[in-house]
Amino acid sequence: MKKKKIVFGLENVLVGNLENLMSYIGLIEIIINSCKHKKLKGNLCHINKDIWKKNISPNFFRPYLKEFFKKYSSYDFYIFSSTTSKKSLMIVELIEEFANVSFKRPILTIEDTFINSSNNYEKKISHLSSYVIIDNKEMYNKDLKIISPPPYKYNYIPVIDSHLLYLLKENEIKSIDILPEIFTDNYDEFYFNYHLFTAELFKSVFEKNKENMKDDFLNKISISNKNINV
Amino acid sequence: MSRNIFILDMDECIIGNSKFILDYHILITQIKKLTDNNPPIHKDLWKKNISPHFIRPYFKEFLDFCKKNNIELFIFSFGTKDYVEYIIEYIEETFDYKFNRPLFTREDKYIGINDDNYMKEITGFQDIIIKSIKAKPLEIENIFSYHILIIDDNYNFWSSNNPQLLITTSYQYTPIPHLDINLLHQIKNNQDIMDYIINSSNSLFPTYIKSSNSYDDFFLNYHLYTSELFRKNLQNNNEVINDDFFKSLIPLIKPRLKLQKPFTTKFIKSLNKSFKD
Repeated sequence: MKKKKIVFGLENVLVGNLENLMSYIGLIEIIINSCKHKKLKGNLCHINKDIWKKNISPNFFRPYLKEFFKKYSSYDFYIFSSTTSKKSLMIVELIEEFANVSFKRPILTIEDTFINSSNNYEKKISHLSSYVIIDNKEMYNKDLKIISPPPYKYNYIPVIDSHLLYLLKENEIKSIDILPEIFTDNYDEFYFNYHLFTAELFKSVFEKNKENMKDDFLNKISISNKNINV
Repeated sequence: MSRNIFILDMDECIIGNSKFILDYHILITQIKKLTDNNPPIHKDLWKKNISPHFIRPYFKEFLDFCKKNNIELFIFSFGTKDYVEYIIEYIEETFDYKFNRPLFTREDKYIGINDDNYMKEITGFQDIIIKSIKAKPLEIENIFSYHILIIDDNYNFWSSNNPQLLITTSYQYTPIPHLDINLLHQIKNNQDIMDYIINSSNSLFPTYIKSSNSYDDFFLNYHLYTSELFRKNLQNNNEVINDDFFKSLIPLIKPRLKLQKPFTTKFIKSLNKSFKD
């Protein structure tokens, strides 16, 4: 008997907003590339490329994620993400580690969509049969059966590794999206700006995050035959 | 040629106010105990990312000057032995310099007439000092009469007429440690550590940190409180980092060393006068 399959969206479906995490990853990539091209030297070039994976907030993952995968462990799981393949793979691996689950490869991404007659990206699943889709329905053909969860919009604020921050200051690296306007030559002012800026970031998302953390979509959802696309 | 010996106080003389650094060190030690050091935390974690202003400005230049002129440096602090040792080790590692041993600490105090008052006194340590610098016994009187300079920010700790004492202003820079991110996560996820922090009133965390239920809560409280610590000390810190005591001292003593003249009472008086003015 063929195993049933579930195809998930990624951002705002299984995890919250990716923007801040991607900025942090982008910063690390810039550093590593600059070191490769000898534009940067010294201790900053010894940072671990996976430093961003450390200490990720458990709230970044949609509540009841682990429980859901356990409950439907007889299914095969697929991802159809709306972001690039490189980013998608990073996040998929994070989920796999967090929820002790594994997704079938290949991971479908924005590169696997097509532009439909209304000039929008559309996700088309042609390689599977008997599958359930849990995703934002806007990106699918209207004829498909989609379980469309409320968007999980938890805004994860990564706390930058302490030593990395110190090295950024030491190396006078100033143009960083993730930390705008905190750089100054003065040590105490730099750290004052950093802590204040980060506190303000947490404050700005605090109430919305609290609401999102109450999300119980994955706890309540029940998948039946009527959700299956043949 | 007689050797010169400089005896330096530590807190607020060659380093700033170490209140928060000390609390960070104590916190690390306690966490290691509470967790059986699992996951392992390096005992020297507090040394990472420390403000470069923690050590008084131009102290490196002063050390280089002393090295060049064969000046023997000793430390005499009222800190506990353990505390003085780890701070001095930090300075030694930073500047690749080694002070003479032993380090004189609270445990070596000479207790004054009133038993509640700690006093610093070097008479009883002459033999130890001479042994440490490998001087000849015949040099003792000459060295201790004419070739000693004591630098301290607090004259109350020395007998009132000590002619060898150069009083400096207190270096009041207060570094706020930027805590290690992995350590913060460990604190957030371990109730025993959290309880310890609250009960010990550790100055690096507010008491309300205990009510932090989520990641957002904890880090919001931590960053808010830490920014407040920085803000409270910012103005003072920005002023004191312009301190130039050691920079000014070098040219005042250089000619005397060049001419191999002793550190007479008159000369040390004139030094004190220069810094008062």
